[in-house]
Amino acid sequence: MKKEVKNILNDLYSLDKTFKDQEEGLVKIIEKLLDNKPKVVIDEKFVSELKFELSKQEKIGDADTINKSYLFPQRIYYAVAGAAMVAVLFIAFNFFPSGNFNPIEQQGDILKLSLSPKISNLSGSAFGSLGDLAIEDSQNLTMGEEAVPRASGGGGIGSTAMLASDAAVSEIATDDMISTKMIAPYPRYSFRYVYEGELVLNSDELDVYRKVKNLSAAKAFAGQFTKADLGLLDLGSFENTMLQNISLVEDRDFGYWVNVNLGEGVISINQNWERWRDTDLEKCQDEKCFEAQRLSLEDVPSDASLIKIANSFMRERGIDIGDFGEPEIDKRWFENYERTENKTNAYIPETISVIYPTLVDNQSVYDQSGGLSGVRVNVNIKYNKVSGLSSLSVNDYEKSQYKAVTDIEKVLAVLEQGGLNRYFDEKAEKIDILLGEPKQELVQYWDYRDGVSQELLVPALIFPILEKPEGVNFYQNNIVIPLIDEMLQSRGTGVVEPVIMRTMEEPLMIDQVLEE
Amino acid sequence: MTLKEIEIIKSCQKGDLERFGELYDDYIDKIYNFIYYKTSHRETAEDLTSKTFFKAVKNIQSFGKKEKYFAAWLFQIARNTVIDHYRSSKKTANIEDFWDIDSGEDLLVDLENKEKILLVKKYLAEIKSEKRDIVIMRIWQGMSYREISEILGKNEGSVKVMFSRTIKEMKKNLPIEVILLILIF
Repeated sequence: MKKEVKNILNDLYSLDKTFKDQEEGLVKIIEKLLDNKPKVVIDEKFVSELKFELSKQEKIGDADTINKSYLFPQRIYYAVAGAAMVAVLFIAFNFFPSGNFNPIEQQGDILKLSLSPKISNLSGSAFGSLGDLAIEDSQNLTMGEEAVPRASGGGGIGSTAMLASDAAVSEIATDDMISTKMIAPYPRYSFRYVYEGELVLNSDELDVYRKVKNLSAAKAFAGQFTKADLGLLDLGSFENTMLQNISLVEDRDFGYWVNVNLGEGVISINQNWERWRDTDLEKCQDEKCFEAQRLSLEDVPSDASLIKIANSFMRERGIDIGDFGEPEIDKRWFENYERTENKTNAYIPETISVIYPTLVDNQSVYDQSGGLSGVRVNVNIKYNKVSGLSSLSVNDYEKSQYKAVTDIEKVLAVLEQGGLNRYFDEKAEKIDILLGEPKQELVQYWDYRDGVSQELLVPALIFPILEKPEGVNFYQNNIVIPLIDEMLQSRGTGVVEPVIMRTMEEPLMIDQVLEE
Repeated sequence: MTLKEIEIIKSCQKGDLERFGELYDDYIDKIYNFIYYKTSHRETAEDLTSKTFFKAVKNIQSFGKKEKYFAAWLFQIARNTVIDHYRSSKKTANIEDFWDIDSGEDLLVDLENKEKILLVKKYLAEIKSEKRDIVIMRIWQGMSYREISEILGKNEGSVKVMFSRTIKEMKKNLPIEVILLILIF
């Protein structure tokens, strides 16, 4: 019997014991009613807006006039070398208002920036060919920084793996192994991703989004800032300036370091390390003391508590959480914990992330490994406080239609290998991984052209992994298949040479150079 | 009332408004839900919740002269705000919340909850406003008797007795299915 049902029954019994005679019928009714229980959901946007409005109240009773905002400290005072100049920067990043696209408003001596979300339409295929994205994706995933763990450990995107139990026999390549031997001469396995449901592809064209950088804010701030007489040099002598970064530091215990990147339109918050002192840990002199400071599973708050802490922080800082998807906890640490045989040695992280998924045109944004992309709020579980936040950004996009893939067989072929250009060893033993019903969302790609990297959001099918293989460090939760036809056309053969570790060439000594 | 609340209120009374945000975070859900259950309409609940908190900020200097508990003070503001809303809009002295309005009138109710609200309305309308608040807090908001007693400024025993009498009063006239619906809803 459900606890809620039991509580209700006990309430009734305490009022009138004759209810007990009707228990069987009551349970049926209660459960039926519980299943249809309506929810009263408070609008998070309303909650944050009301808090923001309350924070602007200027007078409390007889107290002195106050003008504070929870969003950011609103005034920064510069007083250098006795100069009379005080530069007042009023930063009001209004990330998600509606209907106001004017980037800059001059209000007396206060510069107010209004960076509003905006999606504008461009003609078809306006971002050029996207075929290269698939190839770059392949290179990034097989040769990039994470290539080794992915290719050899099966931790996510790679489709080939060794089981964790085999890892101990790996050996390091030496000079004479170059070009001839792989890093992992041990039994290998290929993951084969299997989707048994129905797949429907009924769009001929789909929207691709490109993030727009708005530099007017950075230039406008620079214009104000260069007027300041800092004494040491004339900032106004520099031309075509942009104020790239602003850092605000809270000088208080458990204070924060706020970094505003005006060029990219991104804000991050970190703990001000000097004021987040762990005095208990600092006093430790021996292993026993350090061990005593280690966190255990019992120290980890519930998901609901973590989300409440993160929500509260977002509200206090005036960040409108109503414009993100439902927050989710990053559980990768727990998957590691579950895999650890000796739990006493298992690592419990001090911070756990709550992810607020980015929504663009009501679609969630994923990274290429199938993880949700968005604002990441880190909660320090030792203090139950938010220790940082990353990727809070202005979401302005241009969108353009591209030809969508309609060939189901083509999609299934890519899907079987885990995505575009994943290493898939046909000869290796296969491990089948079942996938659930997909949903259509967006996946983030980085398009590097002419020395500039731009963020693209490509429509994709997100297939949830129903059960992860045992004995492998497998982090991926979803398989991502982009739905743009030319990306799948350019995906290559699907077989990419595995990573080969090379030793560094011996550097030439200076006298050798001179001799040559 | 917790020590933390006392400390925050003292700070607010000294002019540190920023700390009011901590009280807001602790009470926004409870106050909104309480008001929603007394209005059954989202926009009205949001409007009256806003008014409640603005009144609290404006008058926090006066808190502590008569009241013992911040929760009691804040809920009383919410309760009065709801009463003011219905009395000013209906020009009737005996209306305290949505449940007192005649079902024959064109009720402003959220569509998604309308059917269920109407099902329990005639029964909740039969009991006095204060008793209704106890039912709302205990059953719908899941508050403990202790919390309710702090909010109503009564001792815990009195609240238990009032609650059981109210349920018995309702039980006399209602079939069991309806009581259950009220308890769960």
